[in-house]
Amino acid sequence: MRVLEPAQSVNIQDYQDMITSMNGTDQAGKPLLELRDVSKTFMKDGAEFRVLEKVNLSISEGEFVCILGPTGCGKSVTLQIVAGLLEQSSGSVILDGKEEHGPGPHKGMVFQEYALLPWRSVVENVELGLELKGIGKQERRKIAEEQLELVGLKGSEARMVHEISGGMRQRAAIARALANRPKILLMDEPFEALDALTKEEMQIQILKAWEKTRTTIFFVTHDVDEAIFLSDKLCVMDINPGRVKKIITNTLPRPRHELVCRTDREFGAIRDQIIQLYSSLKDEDLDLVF
Amino acid sequence: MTTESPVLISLRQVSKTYRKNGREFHALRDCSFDVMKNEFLVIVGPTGCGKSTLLNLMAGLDFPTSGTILLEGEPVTGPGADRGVIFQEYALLPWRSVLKNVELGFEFRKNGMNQREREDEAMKYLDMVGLGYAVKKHPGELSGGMKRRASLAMILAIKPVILLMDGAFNALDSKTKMTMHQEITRIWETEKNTVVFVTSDLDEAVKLADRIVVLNRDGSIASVLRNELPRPRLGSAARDLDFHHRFIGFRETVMNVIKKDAGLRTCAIS
Repeated sequence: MRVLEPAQSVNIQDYQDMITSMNGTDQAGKPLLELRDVSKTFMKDGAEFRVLEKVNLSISEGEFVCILGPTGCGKSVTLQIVAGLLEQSSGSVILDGKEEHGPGPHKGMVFQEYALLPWRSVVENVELGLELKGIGKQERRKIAEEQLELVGLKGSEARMVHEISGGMRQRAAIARALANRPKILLMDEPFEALDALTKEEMQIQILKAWEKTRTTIFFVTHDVDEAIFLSDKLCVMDINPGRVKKIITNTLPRPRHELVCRTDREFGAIRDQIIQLYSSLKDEDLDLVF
Repeated sequence: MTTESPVLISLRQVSKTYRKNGREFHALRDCSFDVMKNEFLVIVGPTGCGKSTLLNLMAGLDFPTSGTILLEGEPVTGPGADRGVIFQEYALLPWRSVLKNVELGFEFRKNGMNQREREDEAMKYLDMVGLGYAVKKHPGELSGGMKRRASLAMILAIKPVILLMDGAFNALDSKTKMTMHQEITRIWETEKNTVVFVTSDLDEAVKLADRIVVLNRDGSIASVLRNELPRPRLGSAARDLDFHHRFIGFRETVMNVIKKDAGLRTCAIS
C-alpha cells in the first residue's frame, strides 16, 4: 500500500494560490478533479526515469479540458493516473473531494482502440456497464438508446461491431461511456485513427453531446487544432521530464461547431501562442499536429 | 516542378464498378488526370471514396471497368517492376534478414549480378533510408518505423519509375511518421522519382504534395489543387509563423472541398 501524506507535504493555501495564478482567473465552481503535485517515475534498465514532474491541474464541473503535448510529455500517463490504471509515485488525485484509487464506473474511458465486444450488437455494447450494475433490461435498453441517439447512432442499434465504420465504433464507445453517467469522461486520443473528415465530424459530435450532458471531459491529444476547437482550458505540456508548461484559458465562443472556424484570427492566435511555447524544443521532438 | 514535365501516367475517364451483394457499386467515376514526371502527387478523400482503388489501378493490380490508364504512353496491363508499390502492411519476408529482403529484387532479375554486387547495391539503398546499421536483423526484430524503411529500401532497389504508396505511414506513431515524411521527401528530392501517395491525413498531404487530387465520396474527382507552399516544409520551416499561416490556409482549402461534398459548413479562407 502506498502511504499518502498530502497534509504534511502540501500547504493547501499555497496550493490554491498557485492554481489561481496559473489559471489567470478564479475557478468558476468548486473543482471536480484536482491533481496535486502528481509525479510518476518508472524504472528502466535499473535506472529511475521521471516521466511526470509535479503536475498541478484543476478541472471544474462541466469543464472541457484538453491536455496537449508532444510524445514523451506524459499526457497519457496523466490520464491513466486519473483513470486509476496507473498509480502515481507521489502527489494526489482528488475527484469530487475524495482521494482516488483505482478505476471505477464513475470515470468513463474512451481510448483510440474502441474495445467493443464483437459478439454483441451496438446497443448491447452500450448496455454493458448498466448490465454489470444490475439495471433491469427495459431500463438499460432505454438509457442505451438515448445515448446512441445523442452520439448520432440512432438506427444502428442492432448492427454488429464489424458491420460499422471506425467513426461509428468510436461513437458507440462514447455512448457506452456516457451510459454509466460518469462524473468525468476520460478520452485518450480517441480520434487519432480516423481520417480527416471523420475526425472533424467526431469532434462536432463530442461537442454536441457535451453541450447536452455537460459531462466533465478530460481529453488527451497531440493535435493542436483539436485541442483548441474542443477545450475550455488547455493544459500545454513540456518534455524531459513531462510537466505542465502553461495552462491557457480558451474563450472562443460556443457552440464551437457553429461559431468557430480554424481559419479564424482568434483561433490562429491561440495556435501561434502554442507554437511559440515550443520554440526551444528541437525539431525532432516536436511531433504535434498543427 | 515545372509544367513542361512530360506526363508519366495518364488517366482518362477511368471508372470502376464492383458487384456487391447483387448490386452495382461505383468505386470510381469518370476520373481523368495526369501524373507528371518527378511529381509528388497526393490523393486524398474520405474513407471509401475509392482512392486505394485508384492506386491499385495504376499499379495494375486491378483493372478499370471503363476508361484508359497509360504509363509513358503504353496501356497498363498488369503489375510491373517499373511501379514500386508500398502498402500499410509490410511486405517483408520474416525468414530473411533486412539485407536479404532488399536483395530479393535482384535475385529475380537475371542480370548476372554476383553475390557481392547484390550486397553492395542493397547496402546503398539501406544506407539511403538510414537503416545501414541494422542490415543483419530480421523483420521481427524491427520497430514499425524500421520496417517502413526496410520496405522502402526494398522497393527503391528495384529502381521503379514511380512509387505508389497507399497509407504507407498510417500505422506509425506521430514521431516516426514525422521522420518518415522527412526521409521520403529527401529521397524523392535526391532520386528524382515520381510518387503517387494515398492518404486520408490532410497534414501529411499538404507537407508532401506538389498537387493534391481530392476525391468525392461517390468516387468522382472533386478538385485537383496545386500546392504553392515553398519547400522545405518540414522541421524548422514549419515553425515560421508566416509559412504556418499559409500551411493552415491551404489545408483548410483542401478540407473545404471535402466538407462541401459532405454537406458540412466550410471555413472562410483569408
